Amino acid sequence: MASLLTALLPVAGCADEEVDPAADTTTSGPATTTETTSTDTATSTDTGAGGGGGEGGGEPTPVLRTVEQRNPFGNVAVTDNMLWDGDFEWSSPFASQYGWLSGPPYSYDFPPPAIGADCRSGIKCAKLAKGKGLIGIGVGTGESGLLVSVYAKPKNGVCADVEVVLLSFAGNAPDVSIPAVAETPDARGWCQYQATIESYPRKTYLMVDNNSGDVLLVDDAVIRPVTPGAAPPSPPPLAPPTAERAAKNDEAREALRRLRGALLPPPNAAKRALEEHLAR
Amino acid sequence: MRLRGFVPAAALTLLASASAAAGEFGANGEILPDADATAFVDFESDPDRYVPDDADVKCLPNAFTLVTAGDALSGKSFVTVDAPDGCAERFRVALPKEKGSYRASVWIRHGRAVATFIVLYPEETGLLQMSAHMAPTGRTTSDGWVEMASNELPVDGALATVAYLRVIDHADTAGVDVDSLEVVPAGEYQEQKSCSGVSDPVCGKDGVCIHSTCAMGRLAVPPLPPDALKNDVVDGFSARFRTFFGGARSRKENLPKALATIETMRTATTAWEFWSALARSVRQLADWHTSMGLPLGTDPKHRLNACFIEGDADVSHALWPKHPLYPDILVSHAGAMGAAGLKAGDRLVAVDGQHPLAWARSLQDVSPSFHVATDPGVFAELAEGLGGPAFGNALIIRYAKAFTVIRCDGASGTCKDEIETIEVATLTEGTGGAGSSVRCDNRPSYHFNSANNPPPNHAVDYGFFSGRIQDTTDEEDIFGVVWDTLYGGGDPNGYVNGNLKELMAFWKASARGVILDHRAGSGGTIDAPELLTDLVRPPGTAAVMLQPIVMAAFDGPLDEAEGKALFDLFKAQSGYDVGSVTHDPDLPVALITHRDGSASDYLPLGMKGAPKVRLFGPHGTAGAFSTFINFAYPGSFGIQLASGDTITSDGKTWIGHGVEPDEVVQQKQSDLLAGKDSIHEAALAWVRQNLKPVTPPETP
Repeated sequence: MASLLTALLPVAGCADEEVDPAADTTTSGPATTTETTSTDTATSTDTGAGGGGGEGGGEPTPVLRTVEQRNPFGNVAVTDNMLWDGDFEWSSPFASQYGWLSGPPYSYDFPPPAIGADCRSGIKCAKLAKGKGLIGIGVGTGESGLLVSVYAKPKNGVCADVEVVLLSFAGNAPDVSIPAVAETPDARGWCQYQATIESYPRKTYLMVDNNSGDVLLVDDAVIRPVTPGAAPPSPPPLAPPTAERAAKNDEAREALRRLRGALLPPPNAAKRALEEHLAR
Repeated sequence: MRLRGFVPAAALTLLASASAAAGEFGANGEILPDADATAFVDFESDPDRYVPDDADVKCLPNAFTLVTAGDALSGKSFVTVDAPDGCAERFRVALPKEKGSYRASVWIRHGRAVATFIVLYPEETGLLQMSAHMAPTGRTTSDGWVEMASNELPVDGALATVAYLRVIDHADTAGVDVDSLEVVPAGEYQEQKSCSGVSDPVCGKDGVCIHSTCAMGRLAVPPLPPDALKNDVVDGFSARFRTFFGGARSRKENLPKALATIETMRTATTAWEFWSALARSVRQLADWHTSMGLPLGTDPKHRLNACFIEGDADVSHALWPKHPLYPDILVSHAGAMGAAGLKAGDRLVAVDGQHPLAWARSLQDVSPSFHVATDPGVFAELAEGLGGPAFGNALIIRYAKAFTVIRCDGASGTCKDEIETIEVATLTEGTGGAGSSVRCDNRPSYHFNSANNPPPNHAVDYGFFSGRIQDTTDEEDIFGVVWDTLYGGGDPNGYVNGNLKELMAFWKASARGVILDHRAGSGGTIDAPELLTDLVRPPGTAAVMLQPIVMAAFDGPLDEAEGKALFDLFKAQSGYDVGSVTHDPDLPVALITHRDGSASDYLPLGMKGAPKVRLFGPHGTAGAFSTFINFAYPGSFGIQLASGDTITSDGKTWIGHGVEPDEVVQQKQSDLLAGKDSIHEAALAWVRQNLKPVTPPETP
């Protein structure tokens, strides 16, 4: 998506705007062509019809909304994401097996996502009920280190109420807690969780647990190899997990083992209902 | 300081140009209908519904609520659609009584929805329903609205009965908000066209001949991504395929061709050219689990109520010799009506001038429902897909112009000395009604008493049919089961595993021989084959399942030594754990396979080599030794991508390698004409020769 911005800006003539290079997508903001922090002023927005005030003097016209052009295909510029669908754009009620599990109890039933501008990028993101978690399915990178990043939007504004863990499955690496970059969310309400892991050769699973006591949005999950030659940030300290955390990790591992080789389930209820309907 | 990412309207217009997003926004953020709009529904009052005559009674009440709120996109109101499962809400749109071409758009909020713009015509016009599927354009608003838009839909307004937006909501309990439905003129009107076979050029570059009708490809796909996004979208698909697809053999043999086809998307100039190239690349992955569904359907016009099976046409080789590569294709079974007079034992020798399997393989370029075994030497999926009136692929009535048969006579056991070509256009029209259409399951006949057999139309589906094998004696105590599903779902006592447990307990206690008829094995989950192997072998780890793929772009172990190391590493967590200490080493179990994939590959893999098991079939299974992950684009296509591989303790990778039967048996034409099921007969003969010894009564 960052390359989208790059392509557009010369046309738009916005030389003073921040541009997030594709290589930094794991730490960049979402790729949209407009952005606003308010819906009641026209000074920072474009509504597609010439603006409604701001610099022209007089009373600003109340603005109902702003319009953004997002990439409906999601964060496609991150072509080396080790997660199957890090930005949730390809989730579907008809999927028998999607790139994320939800629970507990963990299964391939994925909850209805949030859509629209609430999401950090693209038009869809995960909407996680309180007390629930997600497990993203990913792949390892062999010997390379990994950059791990994911965003969550806790309504209570406490980033620590979301736990993010890179989960080991086959015992070839330790579980690693991914810390929040800051204690409080950014201006749009998003907390970023980020870390560099030295090596995770095979099978990666990214857990996101919602302990915020309310609905949580999750978006822009990226696990990517550390660029050769790049100086990665320091890895998080490898403190032993709490007993509660260890139990949650084990529960997830057991679910992954139970669901191993889920090979071809019959169409789920949503798909059957749609097929039945379309057949009429 | 302007806000990061701010881009003026000019850029928005550039981005949206290819998808021609309708409706611009005024200074206060209210949507302004396109000046050229043909229709604009702003939902300021109850909209005009359309309810089909055949709608289910539960779908008759209003499934929308008119909501008056300050955040309506246009005016003061919108509707919230919350339809019962299996129902849709439909809003009429008035279009001019003339020929035109239109693009539809609508804004939704708060949940997923499938939105389709549909035009219906009276039957007497001969025109078919036209449906344009809508997909997100990427335009969103700060208060949650998301725009969906279709490609260009030709409409003959003078003949159309009704035009409407159909909304199927997949939100949670709150439903989906809908506002600002707009229809704008776009493109040129195109007549609906009839066609004759998939190679008929009349459909042009933007169409596919299906069911003798040119399906307009663009109606099934999202708009063409704008130039600013196109390469990124292509890069994204290419990267996903490279990172996640397949296992050792499927990556080596199929992935390069698919990636090359993806590259052609970069120069596509129409939506169909772009998305159909993606669909073609998915099919070129040539994997049992891999597919890309497109809503490109047209209703079947004709009927071929017969099923085909691979075999040995021993009675008719003099008239039409065997092909050097492909097996012969025979009629397995047929329905009473609509079968073009075909019956069991007749032979299908050609479709549109080619061997039926060569013709079916050629559909890789065009057929959204193309389905093949991952093992390139197995053609059972294609053979099974040839026939059937509606279920399965029904490839002949979908895509063929004509097919060629040799008719034979069961009474005399001979075939006519003539070759007959039948035009698809001459076949019976209509669907024949529910229950009268045969299913294709590679079983010419069943072998229990009539009360225990599957239905006469071969609708095995998710059923278990079991009992004593017909024409065996009470002393022999030979029992069996006919079933297709291995979906245990991780529930040890659920429907599938519960049925299997019950049968296994009975066989252990009462049977001297068992025949497992799994000739249309549709896969399932690994727990079911694991359970079934408990009957026949001691505990062990038959293989490890490295799935989904464990390392980015992993092309498989370099050699057997690396394969063995991976087996050891993943044995504890990802093992295919077979057998039980309580297995019955004396009970002969014959497993019959034919068109079997996924979990139905693992079943014979886990059974093979057990002390008293023998596998029977015409060839190997599909070799679909992986799992898959689904992707779906809202309201449009979905991709299922196979991922991973399976490794046995000897370090061998199994993706693309079907499990070979211990005894290769072809269905003979002569047997079909005599009412015999060749493979079952062979399995029964082996079981009879290996009956479990009768346990002598215990002495007091």
